[in-house]
Amino acid sequence: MTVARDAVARGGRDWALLARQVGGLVRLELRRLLLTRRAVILGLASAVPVAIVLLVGSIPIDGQTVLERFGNRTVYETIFETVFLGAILFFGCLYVFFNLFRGEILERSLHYLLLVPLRRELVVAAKYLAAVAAVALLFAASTVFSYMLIYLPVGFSGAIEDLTAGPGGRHLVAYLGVTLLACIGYGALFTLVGMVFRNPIIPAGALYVWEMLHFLLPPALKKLSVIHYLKGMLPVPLSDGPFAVVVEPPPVAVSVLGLLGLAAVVLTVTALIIRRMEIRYTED
Amino acid sequence: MSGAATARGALDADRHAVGRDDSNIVLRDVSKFYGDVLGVNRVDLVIEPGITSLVGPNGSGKSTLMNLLAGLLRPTRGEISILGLPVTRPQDLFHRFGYCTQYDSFPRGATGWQFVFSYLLLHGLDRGEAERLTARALERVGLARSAHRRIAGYSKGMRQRIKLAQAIAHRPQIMVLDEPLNGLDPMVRAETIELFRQLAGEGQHVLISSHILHEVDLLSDRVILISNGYIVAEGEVPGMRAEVEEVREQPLQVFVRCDRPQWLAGRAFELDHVTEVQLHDDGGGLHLRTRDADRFLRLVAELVAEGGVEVEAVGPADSDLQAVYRYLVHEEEEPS
Ligand SMILES: Nc1ncnc2c1ncn2[C@@H]1O[C@H](COP(=O)(O)OP(=O)(O)O)[C@@H](O)[C@H]1O
Ligand SMILES: [Mg+2]
Repeated sequence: MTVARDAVARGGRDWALLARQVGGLVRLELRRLLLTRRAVILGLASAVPVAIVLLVGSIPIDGQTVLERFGNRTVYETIFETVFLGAILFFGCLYVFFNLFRGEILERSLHYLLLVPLRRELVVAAKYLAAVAAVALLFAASTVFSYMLIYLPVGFSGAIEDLTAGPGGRHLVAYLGVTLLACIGYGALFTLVGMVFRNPIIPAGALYVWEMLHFLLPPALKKLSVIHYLKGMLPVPLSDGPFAVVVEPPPVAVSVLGLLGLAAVVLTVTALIIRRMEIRYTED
Repeated sequence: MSGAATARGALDADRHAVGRDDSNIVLRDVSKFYGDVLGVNRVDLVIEPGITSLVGPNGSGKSTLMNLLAGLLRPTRGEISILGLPVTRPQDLFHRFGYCTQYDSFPRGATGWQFVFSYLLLHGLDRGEAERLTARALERVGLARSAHRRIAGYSKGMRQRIKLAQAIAHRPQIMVLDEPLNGLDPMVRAETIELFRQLAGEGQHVLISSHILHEVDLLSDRVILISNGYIVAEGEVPGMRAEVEEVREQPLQVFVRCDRPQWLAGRAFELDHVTEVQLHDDGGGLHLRTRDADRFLRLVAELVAEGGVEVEAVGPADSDLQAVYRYLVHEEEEPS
């Protein structure tokens, strides 16, 4: 008799067994995410902000780099908001999380996961956790590296001083928090999208337009976007332009709890769907 | 209340009394429709330990039935329990249930070893135990030496066997194997059949499907014949054979769905054993009555091979035991 079967024979819920199963699935998924082509594409995407900051920090125009001319905090905030938050985090999460289930349906390998002694809800949870870990790891690294490059003009000792004694440390933590929460929020949404839709273009496109135009939305609708909460946590306020509907950013606690709550709700819906799901593959 | 209902109640009580439901696969009035398309209809079965074969022509509902057992499909109607467990609780079921599907697909990039090993870990085994069971399963299907090659480079037969290894690796009490002998060369086929015998000898359930009766009749303890979604017979092969031989002389009705039914009808009438041909109203097929189904089906196979006609489906028009059995017996004479 195997260990697993003994646990079942005892009839009790065996938490150690469950932990081994979920841990096994998380590791399997992590390996799939970090040791395949997907990781290369994500790695390249996460290198983009680093490259941009490096460019604006090292190439002088009229004797001054962009970082020096406009101030390194404003420049970084702009790059983070427009490039990272506005494109890379969104599409990076779309790429990974949409394929979490859709990829396995297309490759016709999803049934293997539904034939192991694990509740389907836990299959969703484990795959999602692994993907959050993988994506957040790469994007957090991107955030840290790109942020460090804004200290090019002030050198190593200037960087240390700003990070420890100045506001630099607090800002970096804020950027990292936004990165992680973006992965959590967008990740949950795209996991659901991948479960329901064969083609991501319409749902993801609609969501993208909604997110990008959120600054035009009336205050009540702003609350229904992910980016509203993410932007509220950014450390350096920038103007959204003359047409923006300006509201107070929500308190950080509201943003954090709101995004975690959103992820929980969306994942619950996903779990309900997978519970009823049939494996046919034919439609694809 | 009617007498029938009482009898049914007594039967149920009896089943519980001897614990039959807890040691068998039980389907009660199970139907599955894909929209309007019938998968299986009104299936009532109790499958006991040993080797049971599910035999029927292509498209008769074998995979549908097996997917229902594994919970990959949900029945439109009816109930299924396996060893007394509902199929909606994977956390209980799959410690004891192994399923080898008909899907010829694998996680991308995996070697044979990784494939078996990684899903074993999901059963909650520790690594040592998982390694031991992986090695044993690969040994049993004769893939130990190819274990560290990528599945993408395996032959069809090797892919069949690695799926088999994956399905039996955690030593389930119940093994459901969808056309596991497909694509195996004769040597390997014999070894695989021997493996089924061993597994069944250990007191396990082995349910295998096939569209070729003679491929499985000798190795099975029991055969279930399925046609057009209906179970048409269930029992031991010699009994079926005897029942069928009596009516061997009667003509058999066959249907063909194809692109040129009119032309095929013309060809069929040239055969003296074809007594009646009827074109389908939708122009997409025909029914015919023949005293020599074997020769007619051989003709169809030849015409298809020559490219004269494209055939979508061929089968016995009636779903009674005689028709299905004789149709399936024909297939054994045809190299498939
Ligand atoms: N996903 C599906 N959607 C619609 N019809 C299906 C699907 N899968 C199977 N069928 C139909 O159900 C019937 C039984 O098919 P199947 O169970 O695959 O038979 P077998 O395994 O005996 O070849 C066939 O008519 C087939 O066309
Ligand atoms: Mg089939």
